[in-house]
Amino acid sequence: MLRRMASSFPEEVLEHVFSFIQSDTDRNVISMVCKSWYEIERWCRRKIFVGNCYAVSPRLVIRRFPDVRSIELKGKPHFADFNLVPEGWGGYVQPWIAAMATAYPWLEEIRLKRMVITDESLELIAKSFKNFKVLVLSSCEGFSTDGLAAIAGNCRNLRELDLRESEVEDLSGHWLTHFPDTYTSLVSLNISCLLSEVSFSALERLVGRCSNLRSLRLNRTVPLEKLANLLHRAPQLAELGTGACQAELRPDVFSNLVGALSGCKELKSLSGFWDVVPVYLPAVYSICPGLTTLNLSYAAIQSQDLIKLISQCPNLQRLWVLDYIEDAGLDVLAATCKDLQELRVFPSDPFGAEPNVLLTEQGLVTVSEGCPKLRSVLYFCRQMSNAALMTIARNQPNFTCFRLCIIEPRTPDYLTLEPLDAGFGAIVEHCKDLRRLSVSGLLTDRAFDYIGTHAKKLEMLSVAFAGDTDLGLHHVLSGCENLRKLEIRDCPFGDKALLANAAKLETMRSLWMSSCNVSYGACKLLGQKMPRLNVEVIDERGPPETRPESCPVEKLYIYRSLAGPRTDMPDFVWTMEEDSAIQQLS
Amino acid sequence: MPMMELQLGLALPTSNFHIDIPIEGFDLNYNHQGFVSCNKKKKRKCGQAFSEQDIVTVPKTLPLLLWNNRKPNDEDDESNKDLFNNDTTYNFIKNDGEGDRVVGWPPVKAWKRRLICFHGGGRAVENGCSCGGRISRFMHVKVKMEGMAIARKIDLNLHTSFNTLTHTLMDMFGKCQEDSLNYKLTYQDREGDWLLAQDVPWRS
Repeated sequence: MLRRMASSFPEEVLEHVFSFIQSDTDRNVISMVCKSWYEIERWCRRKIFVGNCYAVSPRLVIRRFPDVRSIELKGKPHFADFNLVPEGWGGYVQPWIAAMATAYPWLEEIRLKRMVITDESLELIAKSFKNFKVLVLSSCEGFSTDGLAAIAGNCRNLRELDLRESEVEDLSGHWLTHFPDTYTSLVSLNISCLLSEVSFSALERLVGRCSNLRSLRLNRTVPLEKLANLLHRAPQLAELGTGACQAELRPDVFSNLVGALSGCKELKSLSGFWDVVPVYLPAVYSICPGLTTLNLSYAAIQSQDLIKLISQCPNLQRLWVLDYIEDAGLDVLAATCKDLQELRVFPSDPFGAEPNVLLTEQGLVTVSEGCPKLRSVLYFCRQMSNAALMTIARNQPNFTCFRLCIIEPRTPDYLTLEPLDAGFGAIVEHCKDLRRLSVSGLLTDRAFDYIGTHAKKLEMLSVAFAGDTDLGLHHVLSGCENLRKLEIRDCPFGDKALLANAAKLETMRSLWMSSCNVSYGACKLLGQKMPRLNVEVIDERGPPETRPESCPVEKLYIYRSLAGPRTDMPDFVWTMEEDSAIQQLS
Repeated sequence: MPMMELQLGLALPTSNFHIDIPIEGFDLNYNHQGFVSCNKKKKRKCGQAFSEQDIVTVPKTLPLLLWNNRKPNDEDDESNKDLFNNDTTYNFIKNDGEGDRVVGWPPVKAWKRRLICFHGGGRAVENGCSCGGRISRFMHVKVKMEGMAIARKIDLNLHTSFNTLTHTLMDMFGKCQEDSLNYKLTYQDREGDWLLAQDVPWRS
């Protein structure tokens, strides 16, 4: 019947129907229905997401999808965020930009994460895509303010420029002056990662003439006394990231700010507050009732001041905060913010041996009791108990993301000195929708047995300093049916579990293992037997051939790829190819 | 299936490996008792404070740069020791018995780490805050100048800006003030990276 229906519709009709389907997974499913749907779908796919830039080549993507308008690409492994991926590993976007520059003249959006992009690539973007609208560089590097100047000077229709957490070489704050005076299309600007001063007058003019600006995230160098000026020009802002707030209290600055903020009736999101001086916080109280998002993860605000601030924000849905909030602040959060969906608590002193704040498992328990809509948690703390985890799991069976980092590796339940197996077991057992999980503390293989048994929807798992044997890894790989990304460091997992689940690796996006027990011999075997997997050994000690095959490799990154081994490997990366055994002989 | 091919190369899992893998130490049909005994063994292992001998063959994650494992104030008089030990600002590298701190743990983004070094752990920096710790009256750091054999020690708390700090340092190292333009002030963060001090706003 499906076939009859399909053939009875003209292609244009189907194309129109498909255009309403936005989700990548749905589009993928559509393309697998039949050959003609595959053909129609590929011609009308405008948006693509490539979770690993080495999993496919630009050429293959362009051949299948000839008219793409929006692309999102991801480069380095997630652990690069924590310095585990050596400098120069790869993730270069240049081949993609070069290929798209000729194939997709109407490309409008590029979103990159953990990629290396040069000024030349930015210049190529600026001059190749006539209707370019969105550039998001998230945790990217390799470019300078010169490249940004090219974007500013040439992309007349640019709506969004977001440099979140990128490392930009700051050559000049004058790049902002390259936006032409006639340019008015900016909707979102995030320059919070820039270290040096931007030209304030250029910024002021830009903000003044872009009447659709909804989101503005400034960097630390924009002083508090200038913020009011900007806000007066953009009362329509919905999202604001302030600069530094470290000025001495000046009544005129304070009242200016209060006045300017009270004009911003639509503000929903607030961030920034670098170096905040607490006396200025009451200036934002007037807009607090409207806030749904508050990111104070760069703000060293102490518990008492945080409590006052948060008690003004009953409609918060998302809060990122340093652990200065303490248990007392989380109590207030639980009592005040009934719509809270996401909570992230970061450590203010992650490297200190002793706790510097009174933040325990109890704070998270209270929030899990008080905030019925909580779905996502990232929580750094120094003590945890199985009892607390069980309570949290019972309170919040709807968690989709649960990331707990107990700062000292292999910390047991502080009450019973038992491993935290039962606690994490309760989390995976109760939270049936869990998509992302990070575990920490003392964990035996049993914890991974629970995860493999219950976490059927889990897509990403991070493990550190845990498990006893190969069995732990085997439980996860054989049990977690939906697992796409697995990252493991400093765990005694090795060859047997990996080889026994080799086929599973082809169903996943990637596996990272560093400081584990995987031997070079096993890596070679895996590379030979699984031609669709790129098995990359990263070893800064030199060629792995110089050590016995049984010697564990430093780091291992395995991912499926349609493109074969990559060609831009630095000299500390070795790929285990099908014929590497032959290569060795010859 | 590629899975099948695997067993050719290795005496590894047969196609029914899910039911039974005849490999020593990898018994999927383990019973509860077996688990407990193995668990106990593990715990004893952990009790040995993760000594290097535990997993000899596993390459440890090493820091990018070796820190000499001394706090900047280690040379201070005994009378000062308590104060400084309670000052987490200077607990750059925790002495965990292994000599080196583990790279990338706890998992805090490089971006956040950069900020944390300045206000995060900074109880001394956060003068007057009420976060429970004792606040150090001193903030001695050791300063080295390129080309000078002998390092100097300076109390940061006596200064209110980079200007006065640089001024004093030039004096200490016997350089004239005009020379200060030829020097850059750098510091080593907890990751062992050298960063420009001027990139960070001065806090008093």
